[in-house]
Amino acid sequence: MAIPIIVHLLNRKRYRTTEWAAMPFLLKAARESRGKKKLKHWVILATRTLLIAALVFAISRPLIGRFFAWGNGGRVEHVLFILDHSASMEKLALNRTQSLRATAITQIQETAEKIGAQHFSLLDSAHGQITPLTSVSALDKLPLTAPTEHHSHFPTLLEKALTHLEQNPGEKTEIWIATDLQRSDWSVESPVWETIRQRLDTLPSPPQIRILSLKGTPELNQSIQIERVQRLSDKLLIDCFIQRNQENEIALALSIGSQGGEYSESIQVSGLEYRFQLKVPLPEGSLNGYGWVRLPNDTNLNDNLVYYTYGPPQPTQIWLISDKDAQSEDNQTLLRAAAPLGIPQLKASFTSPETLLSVDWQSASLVIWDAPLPQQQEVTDVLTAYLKAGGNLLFIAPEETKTQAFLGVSWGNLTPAPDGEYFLIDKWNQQEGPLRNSPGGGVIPVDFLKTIQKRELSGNATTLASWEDSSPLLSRVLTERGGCYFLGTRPNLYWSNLDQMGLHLVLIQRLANSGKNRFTADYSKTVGQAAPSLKTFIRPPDLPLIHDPRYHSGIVERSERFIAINRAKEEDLWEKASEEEIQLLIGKGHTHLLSEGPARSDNLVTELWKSFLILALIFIVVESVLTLQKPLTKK
Amino acid sequence: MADYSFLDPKLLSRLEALPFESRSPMVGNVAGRHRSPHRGSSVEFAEYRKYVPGDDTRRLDWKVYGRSDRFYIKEFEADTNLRAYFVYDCSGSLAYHSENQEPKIDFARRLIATLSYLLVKQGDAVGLCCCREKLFLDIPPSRRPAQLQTIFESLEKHNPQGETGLVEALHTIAEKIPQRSLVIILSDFFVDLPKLSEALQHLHFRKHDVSLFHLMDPQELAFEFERPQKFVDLEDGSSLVAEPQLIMEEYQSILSEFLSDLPKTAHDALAEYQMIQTHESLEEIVSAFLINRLVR
Repeated sequence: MAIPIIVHLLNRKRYRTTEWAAMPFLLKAARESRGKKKLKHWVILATRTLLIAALVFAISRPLIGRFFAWGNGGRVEHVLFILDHSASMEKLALNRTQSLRATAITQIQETAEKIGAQHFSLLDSAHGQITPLTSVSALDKLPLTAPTEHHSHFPTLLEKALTHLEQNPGEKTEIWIATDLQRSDWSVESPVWETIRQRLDTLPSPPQIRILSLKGTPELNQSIQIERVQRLSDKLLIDCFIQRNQENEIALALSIGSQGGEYSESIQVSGLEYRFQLKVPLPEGSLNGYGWVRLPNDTNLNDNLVYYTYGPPQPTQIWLISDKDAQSEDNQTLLRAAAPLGIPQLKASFTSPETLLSVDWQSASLVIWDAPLPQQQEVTDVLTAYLKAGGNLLFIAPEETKTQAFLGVSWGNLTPAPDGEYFLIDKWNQQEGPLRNSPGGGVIPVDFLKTIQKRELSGNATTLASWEDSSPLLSRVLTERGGCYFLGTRPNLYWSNLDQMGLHLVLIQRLANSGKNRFTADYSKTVGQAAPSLKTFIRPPDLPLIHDPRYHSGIVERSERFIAINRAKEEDLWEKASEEEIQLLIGKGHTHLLSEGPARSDNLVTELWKSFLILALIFIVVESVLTLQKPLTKK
Repeated sequence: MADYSFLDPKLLSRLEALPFESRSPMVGNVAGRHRSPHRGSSVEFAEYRKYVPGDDTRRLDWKVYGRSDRFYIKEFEADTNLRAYFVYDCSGSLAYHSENQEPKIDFARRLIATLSYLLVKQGDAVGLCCCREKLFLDIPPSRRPAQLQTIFESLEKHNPQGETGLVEALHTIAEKIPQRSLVIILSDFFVDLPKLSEALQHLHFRKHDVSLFHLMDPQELAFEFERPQKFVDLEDGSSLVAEPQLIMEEYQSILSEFLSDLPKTAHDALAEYQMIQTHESLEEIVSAFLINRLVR
C-alpha cells in the first residue's frame, strides 16, 4: 500500500539536475502551481496509494462481516464449530422462517465455505462428541444437527474443545460457537470457567473464539413443565407450571393426552408464570400409565409438550418419633395431621427414639421428630441415611433445652412472648418449600400464626419463614436428595395456634408428599439421562418422526413401567447471559461476540474482492483523468 | 580568414545574392546602396524645388526654365551605406540547449557571422556589442573586411555567463551610437518586458532601425520532462526542485503570455521581431529576414 508513497519519495530524491534558462517563468509557475496543484498532486498520490491498496485487498480476498469484524487475519486451517443444540434453540429466529438452530447452521455453513477452512469439525451439545466433517456443505442435512430437546452445558463443551486443541497443537484453529446465550446453558456461576481461562492462556496459540449470539423472535412463547404428579384412587393431580414471555391474559387450549386418547381443556393464563393443577381421570383398574400435556404451537415447538407417568397407588407413610407418650395431646395432634380420618392412603405410625428399629425407613415419606435432637451416633447415622435416600425429616421444637446438633443445626433458648403479645410471622417463602402458595396462586395464611413461645435455632440453615425479629420459624437443610426441616414452635395451645389454623397439617402433608416423590423419582427423567430405543419410545402420533430417541422427550416403556423423559427444566429458564459476562467467562482477548439484531442481513461474512476490484478500476480511471496532460500550446 | 565553426561558406555563397536592405533611410559616411535622409547625387530623382540664391547653378533644370521661365533645382536621392550594430546577449541563459540541440549562443553566433559577412560584402559597416550584466564589448562599425575577423574573434572568444543586463546595454547603445543605424539584437529576452519596451523606444527615438532575434530552445517551449527535476538557473545558479508535470500548465501559460507580449513590445517600438527556435534552419531564417526587408 505504501508503494506509491515510497516510489514518490524515491522519485523526489532521485531528481535529475537540469540547467535551465527560462528560470523566471519556472519560478513564477512553481509559485502559481502551489495550492490547487499541490492538492491535485496529493490527490493523485492518494489515488495511486488507494489503487495499490484496492488491488492488494482484492488479491487477498478479504471477508467483511460482522462475524469477522474486518478481514479474517489469514486463512483458518481448522474450524471447530460448537453448536448449542439445546431445546431453546428451536425457537423461531428473528427472520421467523427458521429456528435459531437452523439459522445458525445456515450462517455458519455459508461462512465456513466462504473463508475456505481446510478442516471443519462439529461439536454439538447434544452428542458431546467432536465429529470431523469432510464437507461443511451438508452440515444442515446431518442427523447430528437435527433438532433435539437436550440441554447444553458450555463449560463441558469448551473443556472438550480445549482438550482437542491440546492434543492437536499444530493446527490454526478457530472455535465458532452458535448459541442463544441462555444463562442456564452457559452455567455462568460454574467454577470450571476459571480452569478454562487458564487452559486457554497456556495454549501455544490460543484460538480465536467467535460467538454467534442468536436472538429469537419476541412473539409469544410459552413453555410447560410438570412440577408434581399425585395419584389419587381414580385420578391424577398434575401440578403444571407455565412460563411465558408476555404478561397478557389469554385463553389457552391445553391438550391432555393419555393412553386412552387426547382431549382439550381451556384455561385462562396471565402473567409471566402461571401454575395450575390438572385433574386427569384414570381408567378404571389402571396401575401404570402415561400421558402428556400440550400447549398450542407457538414460536418454540420444543417446549410446548411435557410427559407424565404414574404407577400403582402407594400409601403415604409418616412416622412420628416422640419422647412423649403416644396418647399425649401433642402427639395426637401431630398424628391426626399426618393421617386425617377418611383418607386411607395416609398412614401414620408412632414410635419413641429408643425403638427406632421398628421404623420402616424404606417406606417412610416423612419422619416427624418431636424430641430433643438425637445424640447417639447410630441414630444420627440412620437419620442421615434416610435423608440421603430422599426422605423428609421434620424436627419439632422440643420443650426441653438441649445443646446437641444435627447437620450443624441446634436448638437454642426458649423465648416466651411478652404478656398479651404474640410473635408474628413477618415473611415466608411463597415460591417454594412447604409454605409455598397453592398451584392456583392461593396464599397460605402463615401471617395469621400467633406464637406465644418459640425456640431459637442456630446453625447454617435456610430460613423459609421468619418472625418479625428475623428469627426463624421454619428452616431447612437440604441434603443430597432429601430435606431436613426445623419448626421453631409447637402445635400446642401453650406455644402457638398452629394446630387451630391447621398450618401444621399443610406443613406435614406437603412434606410427606414431597418425601413421597422419591418413590416415583424413577418415573421421570430428563433428556439425556436415559438411553431409550425407538421400539419402546412413545410419543404423540402427530409429532414428526425422530431418528434417535436419546435426544428427545417422550415416554419409555420398561418392564410394565413407564418413564417420562422430559427436557431439562433449565431449558425453560429464558434468562440470557450478557455479552460482557460471556466475554469475562472466556477472556476478552479470545472472544469476538456477534449479536444478531433485527436489522442484520443473513450473511455473516461477505467476500469483498469484487468490490475492491471495482474500486481499483475507479481509482485507475480517476488517476488517469487527473494525470492526463493537456495538449501543448505552441506558438 | 581563419576557420570558424559558425561560418558556413556554402550557406554564405547561397545567400550572397540577397541584398541586405534597410527599412529606413540610413546616414552613412560613404556612398552605398541604402537611402539617405539627405539629398544626394544618385541617379534617382527626388523632387523639384525653387532656386534660392547660393544654390549650385549646375543643378538648375534648364529645360523647366525654358518652358516656364522659372528657376527650379532638380534634386536626387542620396545613397549611402548603413551601419549595423549587432547587440549580442552573452548572459548565462544563452548557453542553454536541450538534448541534441544547438546552444542558443551558437545559433546567435552563426546568425551574427552570416549577417555580418553579407553586410560587409555589400559595403556596409558592421559593429558588435556584447553584454552580460552590462555592456562589456563594443566594437565600432567598420566596413573594412578586416572587421569581420575582429567580430568573429570576439564571437568565439566570449562565452555566455552571468546575468543579463540587456536593457541597460540597449540604453547605453542608444545613447552611444551617433547616427541612425541598424541595431540587431539577439537574445532570449528573459527580461522585464516593460523595461525592454522603454529601451526599444529609446532606440526608436534615436531613429535606429531595430530588429529583434528571439532565440528559444524547443524544450523551453515544450517543457517536457518525465521525472522530477532540479532546475539550476544558468545565470545566477539558484535552483528549484519541481515535478515538471505539475507546473507545466502554469509554465506554458506564463510563457505563452510572454511570447504574445514580446512581439507587441517590439511592434510598439516599430522594431522588427522574429522568434527563432534553435532547431530551425539558419538559411531559411536569414533568407526570410532578407526577403522580408526587401519587399517593404
